[in-house]
Amino acid sequence: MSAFETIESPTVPSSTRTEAATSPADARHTPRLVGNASVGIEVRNVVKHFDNFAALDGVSLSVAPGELVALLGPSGSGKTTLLRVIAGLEFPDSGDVLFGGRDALSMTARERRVGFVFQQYALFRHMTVAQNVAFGLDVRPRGARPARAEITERVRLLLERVHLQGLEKRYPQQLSGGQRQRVALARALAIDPSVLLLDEPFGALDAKVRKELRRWLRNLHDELGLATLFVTHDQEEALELADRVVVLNKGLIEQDGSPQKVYDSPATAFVAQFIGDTLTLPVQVTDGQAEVLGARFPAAPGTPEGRAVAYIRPHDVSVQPQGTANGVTAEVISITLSGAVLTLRLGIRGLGELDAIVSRQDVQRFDHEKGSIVTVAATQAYIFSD
Amino acid sequence: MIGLSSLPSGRAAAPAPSRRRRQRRALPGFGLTLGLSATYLGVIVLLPIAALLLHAASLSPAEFWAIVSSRRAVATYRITLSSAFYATLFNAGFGLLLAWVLVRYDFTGRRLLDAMIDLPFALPTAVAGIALTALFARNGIFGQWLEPMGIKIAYAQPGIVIAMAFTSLPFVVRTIQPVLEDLEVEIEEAGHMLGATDGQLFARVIWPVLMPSFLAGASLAFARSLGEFGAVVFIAGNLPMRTEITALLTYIRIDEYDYPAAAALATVILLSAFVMLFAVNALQLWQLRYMRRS
Amino acid sequence: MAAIDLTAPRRRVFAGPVAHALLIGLAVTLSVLVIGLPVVAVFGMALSSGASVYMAAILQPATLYAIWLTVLTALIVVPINIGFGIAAAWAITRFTFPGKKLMTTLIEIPFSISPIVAGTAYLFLYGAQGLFGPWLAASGIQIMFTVFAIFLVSLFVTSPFVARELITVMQSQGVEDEEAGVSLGASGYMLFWKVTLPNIKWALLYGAVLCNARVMGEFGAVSVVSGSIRGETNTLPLQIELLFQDQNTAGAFAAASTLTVIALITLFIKLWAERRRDSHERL
Repeated sequence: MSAFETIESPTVPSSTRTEAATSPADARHTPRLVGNASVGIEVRNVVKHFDNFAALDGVSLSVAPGELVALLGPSGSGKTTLLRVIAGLEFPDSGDVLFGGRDALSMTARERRVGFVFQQYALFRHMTVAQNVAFGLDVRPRGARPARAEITERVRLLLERVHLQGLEKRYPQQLSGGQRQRVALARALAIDPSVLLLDEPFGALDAKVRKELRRWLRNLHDELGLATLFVTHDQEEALELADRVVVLNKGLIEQDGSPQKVYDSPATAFVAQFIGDTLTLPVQVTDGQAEVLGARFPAAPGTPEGRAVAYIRPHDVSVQPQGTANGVTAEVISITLSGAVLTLRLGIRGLGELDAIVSRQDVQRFDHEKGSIVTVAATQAYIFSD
Repeated sequence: MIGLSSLPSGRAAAPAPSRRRRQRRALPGFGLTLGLSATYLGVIVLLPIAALLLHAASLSPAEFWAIVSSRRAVATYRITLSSAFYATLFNAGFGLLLAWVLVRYDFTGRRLLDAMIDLPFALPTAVAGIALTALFARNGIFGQWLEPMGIKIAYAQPGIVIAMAFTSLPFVVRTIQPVLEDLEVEIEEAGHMLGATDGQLFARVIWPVLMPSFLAGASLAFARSLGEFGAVVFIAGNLPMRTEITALLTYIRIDEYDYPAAAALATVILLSAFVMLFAVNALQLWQLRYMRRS
Repeated sequence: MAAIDLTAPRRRVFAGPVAHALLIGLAVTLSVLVIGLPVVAVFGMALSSGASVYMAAILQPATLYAIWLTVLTALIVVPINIGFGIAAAWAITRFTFPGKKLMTTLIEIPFSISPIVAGTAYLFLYGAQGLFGPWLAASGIQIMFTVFAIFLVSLFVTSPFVARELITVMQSQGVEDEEAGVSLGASGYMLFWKVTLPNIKWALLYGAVLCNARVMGEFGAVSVVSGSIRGETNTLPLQIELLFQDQNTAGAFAAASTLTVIALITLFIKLWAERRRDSHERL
């Protein structure tokens, strides 16, 4: 596990990530695990109702070969349903799913050759690790089934690749959560999948293992070059890991874009609220702009004049000595120290209270005791209709 | 390796009719398993019942009424119902005791006792019938003591009660057991600290939780007793008006080739079974809701 | 000052030594009298005239034939009801369809119907006065009062056993293992043998054993449709009745002892299957 050193990860992914591929030793040992030319996934206007509840209400998205896309949303947003529709475990009421341009809906789940990793892994409890991984090969019709020795060799390679060599004879119940997750992945890869789908791949793991596996999964994805789609409710995970983030809410796509874009310019009020901590302030829109804590910001296109809501991230609130900058006057109500940053709870007359996150250096220069008066301003705000 | 090229092609991007898709299911075998099991149910279970009801329906209402309200038939209802009632009463008490002892106390032989409770379900009713008859007949182990005291069990109504009680014994135990196991210790500990006695705690805290499952188990036992035949015919003596149950009268009518009477009586038993089934389902629903609430 | 005894049982209702001993004593005594004694009585009566009489009673041709017919019935009925149970449980627990609730209720119907009613119902289907009677008579097919009627009515009476066990266990296990199986490319046949069956084998065994016990012990329904023709349509329970009415007590109890042994084996397998299932779940 030493290969998965944890580095304090920035919330916004760096663009140089793909360089962190495998070590030379790994590359020497790893023949191509996936033989297929990878294909892209395309979902067009998919609608799926359960009784009267619209789980998916016209969803379209695409995943290119070699792309890692996160499907991000709260529980009940329809993200798992969409993943299951793509895998062939649910069938949509209308719409299309294409794999490399071919109609996937006319194929059964069995024919689609989808690598699917279940949230609770769904490992077969009565089979050893090796039997689990070999399952997809063992159940092929006789003509297409590899020879016994070939299966054994392939299982060995896969287990080596997921760092589980030596655990072949164990049963799933004897493994840790992280190990089970990697068995599930190896099992999905054994069938030489054309696309890879993961349902909350880190959902059942504790925080530390989760971070290690995230990095490892990214590297594995880069080597395999598959179109990979994973479902998560954890925005940090989506922003850190994915090439592209698709935010889903109530069966509709709210935003589809790079992590940077989703974070920096949320397309809807839901995205602004769902990504990162946010404060909300009531504002008035005039001429397509609104004043938020002393500065004017453009409202989202199409926001009507009049009452609207501004969404501000706590670290987009600047705190200055009183009178030195534009902004509004506030009183410091309480101070919480958390590591390198301070959370100041501020009271603003007529607006109520809000939290600002500031670095300790930024406020060293002036008095910020409890009860002192400061000037606060927003450096970034997102304005959407009420 | 099979590549994507081996997948069914030719139906490329053109969407298939959505109607066909809606009916598709992820797992295989829907049509096969539903078709097989529905056909089997229809042929083996529903068709005979329909034939019985059809035969009964061919009687005129007056004929039907004359059969089911004859003195001999009414006597069988009275005997069947009252015997089932007493058997259920016994099993309610005994079942509660057994469930309590099995869940609350640890003692050598507990597992054996637990296993023994299912014996009445596993033992053929005819075997139970002759065994009970042997025990309670005049020269039997119990009979030789009871008969001189003037207590007649075999070939009298108490024999019917005992046969019914034996065959329906496991129901109350098995429905109370899981509920009793789920009771939290803390509730009783809290009760003790608040100064309640054991009796008060049982009556006010434990019993209200047990009651729905107790009633459900008792009604299952009652339903089973109403339908019991094998164990009863051996011990009952089968005297018309005195120890004849409805199922036996039906059997006798068949033996006499009096098919209209058999159809009418069987219909009465069938309908009472459906009423019981409905009552038991309602009780179990209530029990489920009760358990979820607590 | 006494230290707090952490190993002491926690204070529960009626946990005092007197109540404890009294309730256990009462429960055990009643159980022995009500459940234990009848079983002991069967063997006691069967062996009361000695082992040689017992063997002779079992080996008399009519009883031997009844044993054979009973085993044959079980060999035919149990596999068919295993097949029905698997099909019904698969359809009900793996799919949603209109009428699913109704079907689940219908499966349970034979449990709540008196065996006499079951036999009577079959009489009105295949008997001379029955629905198919004229047609069967015209075709020269006799079902009532033959072994076929015994098979059919046994199928009816024991159809819910396997289905009910499997529906319960497959419902609680959920559908994820099978979904993983299909996404890995397993066919329906492979899915059942390699994924589903290993998960349900203890419940299946338990259901099959209960079904078997009931098939072999069924009395009421079989007595209506069999015609009790000695050496032709007499199953063991019917043979027991016949011998008992003939005042052949030793013979009746000898025959009964064979069914009692089967009942005890059934209970033993049930215990064993439950333990295997529990340890399987703990793993």
